[in-house]
Amino acid sequence: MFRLALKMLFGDHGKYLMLISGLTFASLLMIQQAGVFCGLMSWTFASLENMRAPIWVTDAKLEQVNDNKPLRDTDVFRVRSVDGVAWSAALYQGNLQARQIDGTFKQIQLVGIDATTFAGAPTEMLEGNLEDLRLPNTVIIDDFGRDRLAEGLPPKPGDTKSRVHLGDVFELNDREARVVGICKSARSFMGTPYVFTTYDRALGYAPPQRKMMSFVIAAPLPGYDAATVARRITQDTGLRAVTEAEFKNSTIWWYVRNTGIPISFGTTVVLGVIVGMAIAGQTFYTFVLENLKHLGALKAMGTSNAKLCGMLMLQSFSVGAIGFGLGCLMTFFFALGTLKKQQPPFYLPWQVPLGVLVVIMGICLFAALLGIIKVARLEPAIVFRT
Amino acid sequence: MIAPPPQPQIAARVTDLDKSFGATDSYVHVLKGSTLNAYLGEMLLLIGPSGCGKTTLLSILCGTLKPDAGEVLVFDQPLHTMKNTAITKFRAQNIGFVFQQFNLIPTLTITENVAVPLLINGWSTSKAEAAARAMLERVGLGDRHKVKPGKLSGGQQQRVAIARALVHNPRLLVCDEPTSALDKDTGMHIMELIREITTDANRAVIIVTHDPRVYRFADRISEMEDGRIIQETTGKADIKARYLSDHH
Repeated sequence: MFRLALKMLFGDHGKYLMLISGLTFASLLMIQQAGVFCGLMSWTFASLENMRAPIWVTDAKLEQVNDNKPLRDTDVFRVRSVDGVAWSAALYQGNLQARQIDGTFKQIQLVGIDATTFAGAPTEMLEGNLEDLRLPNTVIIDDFGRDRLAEGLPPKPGDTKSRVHLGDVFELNDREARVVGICKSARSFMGTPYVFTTYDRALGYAPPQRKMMSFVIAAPLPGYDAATVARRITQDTGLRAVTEAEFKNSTIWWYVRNTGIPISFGTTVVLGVIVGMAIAGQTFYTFVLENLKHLGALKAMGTSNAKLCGMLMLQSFSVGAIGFGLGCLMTFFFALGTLKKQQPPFYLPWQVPLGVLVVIMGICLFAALLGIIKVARLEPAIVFRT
Repeated sequence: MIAPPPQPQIAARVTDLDKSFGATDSYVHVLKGSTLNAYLGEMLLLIGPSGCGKTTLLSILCGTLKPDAGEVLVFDQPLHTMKNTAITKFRAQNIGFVFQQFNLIPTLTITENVAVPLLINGWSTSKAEAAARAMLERVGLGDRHKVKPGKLSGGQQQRVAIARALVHNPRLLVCDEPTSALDKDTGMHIMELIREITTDANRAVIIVTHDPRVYRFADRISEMEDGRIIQETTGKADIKARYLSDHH
């Protein structure tokens, strides 16, 4: 009977294609938009991806990693003195303008790391050596900056497009910055390239303020839990100390609370649900209505209500599964394009497709229920009243 | 000494049936104490003017509708007191249906359509379809078993419907106006087919009809009017005299 149920559905080409296209479109809209939203949110904590540390210490009122509320230089020693802390290091982060050789400016994200330990240094070098950062006036730029900082400049001999090479020079606040390395990094929310240098040199590049240190990064001793040590730092110093994961979460929530991004994407996702529900619900209900005579005949011939409901569920869930599969496939092709161009941001944690699958099956359940209510109330004697 | 003729065995008995629909303004009292017997090996025609309650009586008799009052015994099963799930199972095993508008599922082949009652009874697809093909042979459509109903004429579709009604060898066959959607010749062919392949000492056939041309196929005719059986005519001779004479 279930095989016949599928044949009944697939044989009605018009309705079948309508159902599939509605659910495909709904799946695509939900997965793709949720993926772009997650991608955008992952950009917000790019600094935490690019400067890895188990514990981050900030001003007590600082909420997210892209904010800047400088600490006193002595705070790095106060953190280091807390029981359970293995090491702590100063970190500078700030937005500066890089002046290129032709006089144009580009916004950059300057990061100053501890020159002795290189705590917070990029984890993957594409060209050059991290240690060369100890040479005078040197910086390491990320792979995005390699193109971005060369925009407008003529390509060098042998290059197909303009790119920054090792040894190239630009200026930060009228001071020379010589590129000695290219690293891999996560892209920032504002789309500015990361430029790494030593902490002391960063303070030289950056406009002076009374307090300059953006963060203290730290690590727990072996056998200590980062979260516990972070709580202890907060208790002992009055500063805000959080684990990397906690800082990521608070950064994301800050953007969720303070920007229109979630509402914008959420609206599109909700529209996807509504469109899917409207198309699938209406089309499936029409399909049931048009087949009511046949369903009545099946009921008269002895098909139980439970089996008829099962048949409707199977029909509905099978188009849901196909629509969801096609939606995933289309999102996959979209993702292939974005990964090549890095635009728009796209990140798809496994929870997103799983959640969308649940929503799509919910839509199908809703559509099937509309038909099931009709069929359950259907008197088999209807077949004699033509 | 000559033995008395054997008493026909009752397949279905309805007694003092009452059925009404709607309330207040739309209230219709359709059956008003109808009583009727159907016997095994017999073709019973239920006739009468439109709205007299034939179809309602047939619906109750085959367990697709519950009466407001009265008794319905089909093969000794009290359908008026049985639960819906039990009646559904009873219908699947014991009753074959031929509908006025055939009610074939257009997206399935005719083999799949005919196999439906067997699938409802839990047969495997391969066995059900093999039995369905054999039944289609019997109604003369064996060479077209792969086509869909839309490719067939009305008469051929009704043949498929008959094959579907009989494929699970039911003990009661109910036909609702089986010729009304067909032209005269095709209708007669269908009745001949029903007469030919449904005749079985262990099966009762009940046909609701308006069509006087099919009276000659009946073993017994029950005439209804205003929700009651008003007359019963048994035997070919009496049927011919009452319904098939020139005067009539």
